[in-house]
Amino acid sequence: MNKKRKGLPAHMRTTLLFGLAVGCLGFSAVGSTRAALTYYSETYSAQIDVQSIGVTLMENGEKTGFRDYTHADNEWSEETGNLLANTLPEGEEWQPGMVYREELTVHNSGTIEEYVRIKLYKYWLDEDGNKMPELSPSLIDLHLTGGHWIIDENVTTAKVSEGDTRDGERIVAYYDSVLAPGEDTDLFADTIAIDGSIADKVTENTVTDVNGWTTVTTVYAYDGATFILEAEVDAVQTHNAADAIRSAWGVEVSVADDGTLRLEQ
Amino acid sequence: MKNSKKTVLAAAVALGLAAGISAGSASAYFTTYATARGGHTIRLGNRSQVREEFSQWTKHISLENTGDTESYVRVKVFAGSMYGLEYDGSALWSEGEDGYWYYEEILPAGAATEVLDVQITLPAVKDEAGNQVAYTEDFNVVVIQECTAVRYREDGTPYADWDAVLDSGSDRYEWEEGGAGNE
Repeated sequence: MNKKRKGLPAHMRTTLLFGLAVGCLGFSAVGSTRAALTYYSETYSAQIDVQSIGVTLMENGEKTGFRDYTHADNEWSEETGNLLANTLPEGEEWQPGMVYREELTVHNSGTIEEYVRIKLYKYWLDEDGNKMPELSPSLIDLHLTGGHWIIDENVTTAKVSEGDTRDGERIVAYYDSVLAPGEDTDLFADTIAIDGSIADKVTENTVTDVNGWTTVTTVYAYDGATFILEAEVDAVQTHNAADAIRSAWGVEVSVADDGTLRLEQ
Repeated sequence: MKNSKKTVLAAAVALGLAAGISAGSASAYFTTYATARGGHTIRLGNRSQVREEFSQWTKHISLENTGDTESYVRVKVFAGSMYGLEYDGSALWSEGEDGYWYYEEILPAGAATEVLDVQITLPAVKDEAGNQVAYTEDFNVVVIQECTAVRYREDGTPYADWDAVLDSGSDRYEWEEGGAGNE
């Protein structure tokens, strides 16, 4: 007695399996389409998926520059911030030597956990907006608080503490902990001051006339110069963090079980 | 059997394709950034000028801040030792141990101090008979004035440093080409 096999015939099973395979391909393609939303910046590129990542630089408790991915609109919401815009009362000028509040933190304005770093530049501009390498960035004294912020000594060229003899423009620091959505980092900096010694810095111009009289003219070197503070905050996902950071930021890190980040020097 | 092999092969091909396409997504990382920039212009360079009027053997001295920034000011009066000088005027003026008179308040740009009166006492001159007569010699009473920048301690307390030494040394550093502010 022939035993009849129950269920679908072989050709129908094949068709069904092909249907499932095509379905799988279809879903995969959707995933890739999402992943193909790619943003290019000057220094790196990143593929963006549907989850929302966002980061905001906070100055004295106020938003001063952010870039958030809004899932609902499928677009970036961003704004470049103006640092030091509200430091002085109306009509007052910046006074060398005086210490001003400059509390800088980073806020996770996205919906996923992230690691963050800050790149900060200090320098002087002349009245035409040209950089003045003859004026010292070390006299722009941004007071860093330390804590969970790790200075990347390989790329930092600026003075970061009392007694530090570096005199470049750049500070790069990494926050060593996971920043959860809605949370702020510890303070990166708390005050800023322009060193009072700039009032003594002069350039001398000596002119001798036909009678042999010499006139020495001194000009205040920092008079009319504008000091600039420039910050960029970067954020990256915490999932597969070491690879993500290497890919996005080009640095080697290790991540402990508790999420603590350490730079591999 | 033949159909079964075909089915397995088709499924394997489909899975392979799916895995290949998914590999692109697996290398995507979520990143973002935010930027901000700002600064302030520093004004330095203090200038002041003396204004004086003369009446009843008294110099009425006031100093004006002719610079663009606030300043501290001081004044000193020189005369021959036979001439007496007596100071009077606003309580904002006080004599220092070095002979200068210091104006206590910060002088804003464009502002002038209150008046410091310096009364000049002439030497007593008598004729041969012993009678006092008018003093007729020419003489000078010289007023010099100085200003200096208002400095601030960390807590914001202002002060003047009259002994500050100007520094004409270089502050130049290695410019990082392509770095910030070079756009």
